[in-house]
Amino acid sequence: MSSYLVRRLLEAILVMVVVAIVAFTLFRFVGDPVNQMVGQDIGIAERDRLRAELGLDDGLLVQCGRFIWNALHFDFGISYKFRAPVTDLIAARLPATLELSLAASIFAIAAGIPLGVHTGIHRDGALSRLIMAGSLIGVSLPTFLIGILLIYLFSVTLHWLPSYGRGEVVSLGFWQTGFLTGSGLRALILPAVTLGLFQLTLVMRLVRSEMLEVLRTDYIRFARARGLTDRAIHFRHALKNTLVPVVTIIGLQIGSIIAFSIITETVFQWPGMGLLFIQAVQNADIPIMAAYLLLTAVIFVTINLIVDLIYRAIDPRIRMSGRV
Amino acid sequence: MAETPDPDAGFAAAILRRFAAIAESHLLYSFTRSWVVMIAAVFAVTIIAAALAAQWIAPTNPLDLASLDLMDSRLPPAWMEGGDPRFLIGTDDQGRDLLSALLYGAQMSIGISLAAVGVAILLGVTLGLISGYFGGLFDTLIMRAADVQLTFPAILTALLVNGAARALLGDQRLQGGEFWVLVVSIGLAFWVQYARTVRASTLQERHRDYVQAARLIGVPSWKILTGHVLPNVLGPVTVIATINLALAIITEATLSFLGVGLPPSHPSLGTLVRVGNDFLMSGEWWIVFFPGVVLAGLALAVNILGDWLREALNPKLR
Repeated sequence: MSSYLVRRLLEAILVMVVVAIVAFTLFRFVGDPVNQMVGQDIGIAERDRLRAELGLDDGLLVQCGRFIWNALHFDFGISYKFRAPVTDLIAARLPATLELSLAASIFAIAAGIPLGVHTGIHRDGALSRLIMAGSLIGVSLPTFLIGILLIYLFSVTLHWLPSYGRGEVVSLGFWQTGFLTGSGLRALILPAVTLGLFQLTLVMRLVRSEMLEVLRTDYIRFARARGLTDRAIHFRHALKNTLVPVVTIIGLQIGSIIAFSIITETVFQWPGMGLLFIQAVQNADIPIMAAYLLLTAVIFVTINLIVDLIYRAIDPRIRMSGRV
Repeated sequence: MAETPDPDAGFAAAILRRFAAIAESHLLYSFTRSWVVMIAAVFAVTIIAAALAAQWIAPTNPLDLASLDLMDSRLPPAWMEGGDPRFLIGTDDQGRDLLSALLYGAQMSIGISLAAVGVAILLGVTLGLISGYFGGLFDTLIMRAADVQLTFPAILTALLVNGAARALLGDQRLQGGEFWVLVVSIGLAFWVQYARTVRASTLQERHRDYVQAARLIGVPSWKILTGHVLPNVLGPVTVIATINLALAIITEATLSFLGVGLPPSHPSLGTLVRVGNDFLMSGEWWIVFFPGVVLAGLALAVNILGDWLREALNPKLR
């Protein structure tokens, strides 16, 4: 186990180094940092002074090392557009994105598992067919169209829910939460449903196919022979055994939920990291893009690592094959 | 060397053979068996044909700014109160005929998506062939790069490439280049799947007798790759390409919707939805509705066709 852990850790670090070099290349070579930071009327002498001050005259390796060193200390430089440290900008917006992602994941799991169990048990029922057809449409609809549709339905037509923003937020130290106010929770519903819908269909389809497979096994047949109720068979025996792959997929999907929140946040003007990133892409604000790239890479790599390790812990067959 | 078949001829013949095989196989049979697949095919072909013929069938030219009249802006569809019979499904905020904008927009979206899938295939198949055939350091480098990229969702890759291109080119030089920036950023986001699939098939084909024989008589590597290995590894590529086309259409629309794609003066399905979204609040639903329906329908239809193709071509699922 420990040798496996070390190997996986080394791989993860290698991936991070590659991403860091890509981020540095973006940071250093795409656009001239000095030109971005000063106005047109600044003289050449002044530019050279700034260039030296920023360390842009040093060797490339030194610069790259400094970039990584600074990144390790959460220093990503100054945003070209906002003229503020990137770290502060991201830290101010991180809670909004994390709360949205959490709500979306809970929605996807809470709705996806029951739907998957139902369609798995009643394979040919009319309701199951309807749900499956709906899920195909859900997969094909682009996220932003779903968001627009929900806004039109629940905000413009019915006036039930707000269409943009986070509502009122409460400050808990540096963390601004929308979970504690009524308007914050109401503002959360539409974005969370929009963001979670794709993951919901994924969870549902996975649970369904796993259920279909498990229900064919001998121990389920034996449980039926023992005269157990359908309820006990379906939930205590079958569902439990479908959960290992489901946990994995949900874990791996957390990364893409954070990435897809870019789209949802744009539709709902949700003041999170995704909206910051999309503004950075529109304005070619490289420091924010580089920081976002590094941050999402850290999150993805960490989740991948944890899921791998959990998987080995849960499923003894993988541990065994690793030893051969 | 005279016996070596011309690689182009071999390639064309392989494609012809594949078409012949499709016509004879149960592919056609399974096609006529499912009405869902048939409806999807009819819908997709109609939209694509209409989009390609936009220059001839559209009532007006939405790119011709001189013909626009702001007095015509935001008119509802012709059958509603206040509608104008000249504009069947209404107009947008610039007074463009929405039907014409939609046709031109669909053409733009489909063009970008096809070109992007082309870029992805070209890059992915080339790298996959090299990786599988030569192995060694090439293989390690290419496959590690694929692994790293696979940890990021495609939309994020496309956004990053797009942002980098924007910063590199600057806003002035980007004018008119948006099309290619989109093509490249979407293409770069989708190459991994092709590279992996082609690499796996190439690894198998490399040890077949015909490849060994070609090597023995001294056919150069690039000729073996293009003339012998390539035609035999293209099967799965067609399936991936179909499914990827739906993804590419959605990605293009998403990028344009996010405001990093085409400028509003050049309609694409994404920019039309983006413009329409601004007027949804005031109840002008048709500006976003029609482009949205075409976009969702097209993606759904292509998805269904891709699914069907995958099942029909996979002997294990029969």
